[in-house]
Amino acid sequence: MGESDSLKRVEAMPALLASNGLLQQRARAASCAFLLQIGDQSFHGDLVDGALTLSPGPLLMRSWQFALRGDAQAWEFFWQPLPPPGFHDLFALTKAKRFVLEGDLTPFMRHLLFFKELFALPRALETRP
Amino acid sequence: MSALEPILGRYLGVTLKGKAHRIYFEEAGQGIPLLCLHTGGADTRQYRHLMCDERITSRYRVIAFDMPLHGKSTPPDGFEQEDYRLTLEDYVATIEAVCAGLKLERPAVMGCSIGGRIVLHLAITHGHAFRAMIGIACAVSTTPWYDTQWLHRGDVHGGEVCAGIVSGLMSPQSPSARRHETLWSYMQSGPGVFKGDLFFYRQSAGLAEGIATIDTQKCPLFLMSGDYDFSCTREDMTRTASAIPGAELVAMQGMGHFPMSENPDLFATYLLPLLERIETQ
Repeated sequence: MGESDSLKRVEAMPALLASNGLLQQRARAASCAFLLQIGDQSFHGDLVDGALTLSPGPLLMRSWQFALRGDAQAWEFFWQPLPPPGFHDLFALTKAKRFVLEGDLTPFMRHLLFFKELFALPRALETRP
Repeated sequence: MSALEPILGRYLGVTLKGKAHRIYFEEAGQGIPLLCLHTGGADTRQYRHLMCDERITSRYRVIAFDMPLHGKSTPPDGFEQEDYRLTLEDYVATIEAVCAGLKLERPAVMGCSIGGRIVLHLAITHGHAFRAMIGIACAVSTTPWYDTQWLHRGDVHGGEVCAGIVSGLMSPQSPSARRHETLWSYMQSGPGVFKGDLFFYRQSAGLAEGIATIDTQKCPLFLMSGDYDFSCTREDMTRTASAIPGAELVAMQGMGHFPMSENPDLFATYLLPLLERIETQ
């Protein structure tokens, strides 16, 4: 698995969200702008009315409310269908300093269970035909 | 289809800090009393699987109670005037009151997370009063990994954020239904209760000096650790076990912070041999 695989997983996230009716319903209450970083590549995420748009970054002067950054290898482990201990949860990785959460965490914490599910969606790709 | 479970629930009236408390407890089985202490921000339901396991209830009287303000234990009059904070003294007094009220004679005690941390304290100060002790996810010191202020704010749903905080402490290998049931009790916890329980967890991190004095000859002590528990890590538990002469560490694989509720079948494979030893000691 390389960085390009990681990027494919991120790019699949909007469609994975759109195909999950219940999660999309919860997304409608969680509108916000965030930054996701996988290794050297960043993405601006916009959640509006339950739909996610991802734009490769950095887009100069684009604002975001919170950022979630991690090294590419940690994301790869995180997205395995059965992640090893320590790579199975966003907070496990922030505690281990492999991931960093920054900015205004209020929207993230208000919809914590939703965002945990959203960022774990690419795990489903492993089991897709 | 219908099926009655063997679990019986009742209320026990006790006085704590000069106030009347109505403590809810459940029990099942006959034999050696086994007092089970739930995690912070949760309640006795975590032990429902143990109470329905005949391999255990045929030999043990399994008892669990909801801490004040938790589960079905009625909050004491005037609770709304206080900022709830669980202290070491209050926790010990509650356990003593329940043991006395239920006339438990030298029970075995098992606790998880804050319930395990208090087990360590009881091992230091009350070892004579217990037959054996099992502490799960209860290292004397752990590294704090989040700001507990998030747990009780008017603009963040307390139930959802508490569940979101602990959701990743479970193993992805644990059955989805059991993991979500575990989270459900966190979602139902009263406002600020989990945060108040963690006051004890962080206050009691100073137990480190006392644990070397634990006499495991008098009261055997087993410590259980899940490999997916990143809050109370395997390293934290190993350090604690090695500081207590005679303490035994049980390293559980594919398990997180809530063994008895997140994966009761797997937990039983680790617990049953310990209960067998406690019974025959």
